Amino acid sequence: MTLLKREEWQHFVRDVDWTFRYVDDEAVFPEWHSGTGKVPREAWLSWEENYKVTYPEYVATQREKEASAYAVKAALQRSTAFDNLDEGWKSSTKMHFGGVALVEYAAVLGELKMARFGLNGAWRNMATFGQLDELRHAQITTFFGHEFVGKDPQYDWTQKTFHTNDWVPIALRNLFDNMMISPNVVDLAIELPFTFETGFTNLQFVALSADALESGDVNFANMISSIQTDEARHSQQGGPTMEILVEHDPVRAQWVIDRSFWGSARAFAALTGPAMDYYTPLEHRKQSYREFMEEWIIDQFIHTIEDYGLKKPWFWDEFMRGLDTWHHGLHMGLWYWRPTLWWRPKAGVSKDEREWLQEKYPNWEKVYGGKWDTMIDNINANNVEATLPETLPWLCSMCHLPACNATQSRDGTWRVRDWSLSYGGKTYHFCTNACRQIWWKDRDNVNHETLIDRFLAGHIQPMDVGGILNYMGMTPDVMGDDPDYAAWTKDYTGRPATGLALSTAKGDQS
Amino acid sequence: MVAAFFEAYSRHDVETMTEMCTDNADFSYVPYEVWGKQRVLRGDGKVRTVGKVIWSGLINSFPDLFNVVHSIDANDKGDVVVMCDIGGTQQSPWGFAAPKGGRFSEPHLFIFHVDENGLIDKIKAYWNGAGINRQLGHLEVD
Repeated sequence: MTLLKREEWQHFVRDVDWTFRYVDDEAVFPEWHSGTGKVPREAWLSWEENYKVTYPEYVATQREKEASAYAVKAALQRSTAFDNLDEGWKSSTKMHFGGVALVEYAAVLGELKMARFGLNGAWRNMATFGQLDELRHAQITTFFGHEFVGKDPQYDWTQKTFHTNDWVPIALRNLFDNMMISPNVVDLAIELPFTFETGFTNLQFVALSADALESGDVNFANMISSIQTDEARHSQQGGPTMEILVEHDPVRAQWVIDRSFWGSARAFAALTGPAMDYYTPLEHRKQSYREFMEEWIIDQFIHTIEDYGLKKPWFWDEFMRGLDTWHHGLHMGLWYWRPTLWWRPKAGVSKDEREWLQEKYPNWEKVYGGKWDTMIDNINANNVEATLPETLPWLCSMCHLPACNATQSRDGTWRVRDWSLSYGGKTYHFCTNACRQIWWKDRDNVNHETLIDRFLAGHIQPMDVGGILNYMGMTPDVMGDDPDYAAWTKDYTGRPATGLALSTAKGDQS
Repeated sequence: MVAAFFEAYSRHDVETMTEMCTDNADFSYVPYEVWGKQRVLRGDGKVRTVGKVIWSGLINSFPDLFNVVHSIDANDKGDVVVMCDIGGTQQSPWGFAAPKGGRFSEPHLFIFHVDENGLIDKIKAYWNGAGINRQLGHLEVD
């Protein structure tokens, strides 16, 4: 007997739906989880993915990718490649492992939700493969990160990060709980595969892959490209969902995209911006963060949503201005608050690096140069203590990132604004107008308490830096520090010091 | 059956409340809404999906939740009308109402339908949402 060709039977199995008699459709696909909203139930029958896959093909393809990913890893285990990597690049990988490994696991839960409550059989099938993909990503990322624990205990945070109360995972939990865990599956499909994956991470993975090869980290590049090819397949769940939603409820589609785009952009400013513009060795920087965002995220994403008949998000001007400022302020905050990180942040502000930054971001010296000069002068005066934190910054109630986004006043000066909102007897503070507005519009969403909310509520004891670090689960062997102060301060030795927090002055005060 | 349902409710026994309903029992808490932009969740659906969530959430937010049944009227077609008071002291957020330790007690009207097997196959409830919000100290109107 001959076997049927895949093309002859695939269409029978990819889309299996039937009419329920014992219970009705609402019982099987409850509105709270399936979220059809204004879209007629029958409209979902037209859901169709572009790239179809069957289970045998899936297994064969994945086996090949697994074999090649681990083969490269095994070969590199016997080399000294890791020892020769730039510390800045190692920081990028630690940040990625800790920030991403268990997010992939959260994505497993998101995909499983679509696999159960997706409103079309083909969608549920695609999501089933999607959750296998994400499980693989969680495993491979954790395994690669685990490999380096013996060389550097900071890699232990590959697995540990999301089990701590560090401010970074709190911020990411807030974002991803709202994006993956709590939404109905229609919103989820637009937020996770469509906006976050297609709009951001798939492209970021390509960029990180290229940066990794340039930096000499073949292992990381190999792992990332192996993951990216999975992401590209299951992220196509977003497209057909978007088509149907736009046809019947375009206002909702626009809002879901706006909200998840903004949240993703805020997280990317903190995770990708410093890695591209400060941690990657100067000679290996292919693009600045802004250039990357403009070319890969903005152009392609805007074309995509406009193809669906939607508009640029309402906050677009604010977002575009933020490309010049957000990640620089966040980088300074990450560096200043380096004891709270599980990586070693390079300041990356030597003279050459500053010239590059000024070339790419014409306002850089004006907005950030003087502040870094203060840090540099203190370090050159052997007063590193003055560059360490003594309390917490204010964290935005929406994105949980420090409120450090300078904007230009009409008189030309740059200031960080307080975007506050009084509601329910409490005053909330936000880093940007858009964060405030999104929080307000969807204030019934899952919103975790920020770290500073917990601090002010007395959850952190003792109420000092040591207590904060302990609450975060940060141990001395993992605590972040600058890997090489001299690398960026030696250019400035001997110059007259301004803004110095002199140790003698401090002695007088105490 | 309906009296037993309210006894289970008093014990905060959501599983038993659910077991007293058919698998496909309809659920409609008419005043219940949770607002987000472009996304309004209503208390409409099935007992085994929306209903259990609302009951569990309500009990979680009001650990001393109680009900006082004033009257139960029924006809031969299986329709049952219940007038009762439901109340409790708030300990966790409920909808938009932030917890301020407020206590509420408000008349509720329940309309049930019981099928030929003696199981509830429809629950519909009405109450004065504004009255509850006032008692809890949540005075926002939007």
